[in-house]
Amino acid sequence: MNLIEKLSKGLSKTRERMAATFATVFGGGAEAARELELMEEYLLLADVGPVATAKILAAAAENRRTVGLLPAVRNELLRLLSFNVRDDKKVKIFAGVNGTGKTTTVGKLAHFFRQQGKNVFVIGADTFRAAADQQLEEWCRRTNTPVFAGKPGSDPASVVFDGLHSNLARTADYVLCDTAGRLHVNKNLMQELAKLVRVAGKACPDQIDVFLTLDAGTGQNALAQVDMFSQWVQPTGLVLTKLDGTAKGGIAVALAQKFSIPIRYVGLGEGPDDLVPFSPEAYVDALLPQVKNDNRRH
Amino acid sequence: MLLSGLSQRLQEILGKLRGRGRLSQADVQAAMREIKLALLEADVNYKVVKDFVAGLQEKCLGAEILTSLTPGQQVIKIVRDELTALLGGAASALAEADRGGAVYMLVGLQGAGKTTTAVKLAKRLQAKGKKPLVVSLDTHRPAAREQLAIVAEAAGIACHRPQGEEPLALARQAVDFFAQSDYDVLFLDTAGRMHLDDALMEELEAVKALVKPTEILLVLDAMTGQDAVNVAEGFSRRGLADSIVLTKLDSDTRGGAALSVRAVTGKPIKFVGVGEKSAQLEVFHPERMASQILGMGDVLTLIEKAEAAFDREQAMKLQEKLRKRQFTLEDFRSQLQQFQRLGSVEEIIGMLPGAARLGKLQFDEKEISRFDAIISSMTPAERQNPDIINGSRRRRIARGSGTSIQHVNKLLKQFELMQKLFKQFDAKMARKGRFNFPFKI
Repeated sequence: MNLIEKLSKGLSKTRERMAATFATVFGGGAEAARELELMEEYLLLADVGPVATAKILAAAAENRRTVGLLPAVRNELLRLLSFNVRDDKKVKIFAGVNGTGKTTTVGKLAHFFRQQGKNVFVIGADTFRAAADQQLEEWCRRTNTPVFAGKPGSDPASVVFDGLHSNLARTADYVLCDTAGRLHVNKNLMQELAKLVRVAGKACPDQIDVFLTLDAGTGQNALAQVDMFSQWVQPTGLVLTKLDGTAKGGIAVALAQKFSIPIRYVGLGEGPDDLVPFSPEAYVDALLPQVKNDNRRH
Repeated sequence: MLLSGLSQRLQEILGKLRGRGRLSQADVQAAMREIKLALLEADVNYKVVKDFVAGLQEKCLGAEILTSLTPGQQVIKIVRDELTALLGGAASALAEADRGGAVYMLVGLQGAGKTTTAVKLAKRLQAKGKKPLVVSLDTHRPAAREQLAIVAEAAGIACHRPQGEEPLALARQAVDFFAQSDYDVLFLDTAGRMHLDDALMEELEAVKALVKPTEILLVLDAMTGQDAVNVAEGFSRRGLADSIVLTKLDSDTRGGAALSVRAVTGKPIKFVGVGEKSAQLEVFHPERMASQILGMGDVLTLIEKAEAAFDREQAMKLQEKLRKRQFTLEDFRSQLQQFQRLGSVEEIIGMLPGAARLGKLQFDEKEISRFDAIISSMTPAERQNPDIINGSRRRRIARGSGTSIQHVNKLLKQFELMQKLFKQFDAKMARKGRFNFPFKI
């Protein structure tokens, strides 16, 4: 199954219902206002949020006359979600609030790089959550990846320091570092994360990516999450997880609109293969309703 | 702070109406538009918002409001009543078992916080004299069962670990073990699953049929967006959600999920998780939450927590001392210690009326233990009368407590501020005459 099929499969379930409504409205040449209202409702229900929705609809208004509302919105979304991804760094630190899927993402990404024949080394710096080290070790055992997991209760920054100074880290193509989940409003834990990233930066200067994992089901609070994390560490990418449910992850659009931090990977399930690089086209096509009729308006 | 985002926003909107003598139809409509946006930003489900605002507008445009002398106040009252209704009337407790031990199942999406919640609930019942047992049926996520075992052990809760890799078989062993033990409450932690995953949902139905749970609690992340209602509906349609626990409410989420889920499924929200520690679980009170959203503060919860954490007799003594202005550093320290039992300082401030307007306050929890060390390094005379603490005494105290003179100065400054604050607080409460605190903070 390729990426588009995977994404579409994940998002299709709710989309089918919506598409039926849309086909009648868009295809049938209904009132322009009704069409706009439906699109607004659609975007809001996808968690795009009131602010970003208003901006997208305003931007789409210009092209609407020539191409129709749906293609106009599609173009605007593609414009927002096309990021300039800077070069890939060797060390990738995964951070985020509790339960967004950091450990699972590390496990899957290790597998992803291993499939490409890369040397991967995993550092487990979640020394807080019970059995986090065992969870990560189990993932790495499955994907045959060397792992160094810190002892429960030890200082996460020193775990990262030791890990990055090991031979395995030196010889690896990629080092993936799992961290404990933390709420963005917890200042002490954010300080801890900032220290961890600082220490990593000293061990491997200019080789650090900080990826924030975000649950696709998250609502507008994700804006606050990215905002706060950005104040403590400079995230270089986002990973959108759990996009295989009914949540459409429209929050990604709101985030792109406000922060333009590139979305790098998308999580679509719990299997090792269920992680794919982010593709704006696949994402937008899965997000928006598919209409078979000709949308062109005159 | 719980829901302070939404409450701040609504306060701004309603504040504009509060002082107005007369409201025009346009005023009300403008306010409704703002409320609609605020609710959407708070992640209240789009359809719920639409219905809610339509109902609100109808009530607010009633002749009674427009001709009232204080229409702004009236609007606020209506909003609060409607919010309370939306959140679901009164608080409700866990269902009791008809006979034998009670069995509770925790279900939900991945990463919602089921395992943590299972132990928190067990801890809560244990404090009420029950003998809880927790068992994990999560064969799916690596090391999930280890996690429950470790968290339970740390909290002093018994955890049984049946052998096997098949949830149904584990469930059978769990209930058999439970029936023969002298535990009286069983919490079954299950693997996280998407509500669309038919195979995993059927597995859950099979477990339900086998264990016949007293109640199934759906654990939901409070930061969830529009999808919260889909999730709740997905579980409740299959009879796999009798009530709801909202987790991670200690984030700055505006908690719209809480409003929506109750409105759409009709299932009551029973508990909210407000931290990672095993004691950080609270009963959900709809009316208090509504007041809190509107910035009226959650004084009732504060009083309840305080009553549980504070030694009544000690509090009475303290009250007496405060009245006589005899509050010493010794008292300050014992207050700090009791305060710590109450929860985090931010949590407490969040419950005070008008807290949303104070903005975000950060408080270093380490500060309290530092203060404790500093006060321990003082002589009894110094604790009774801080005025005698001069430069050389400060140096000695700093050395003795392993802190710096700056820290000592800070403590003395804070103590002074606190004394002032008490005076104000005391006067305010006396004037209102409404809140009869059994203690003074």
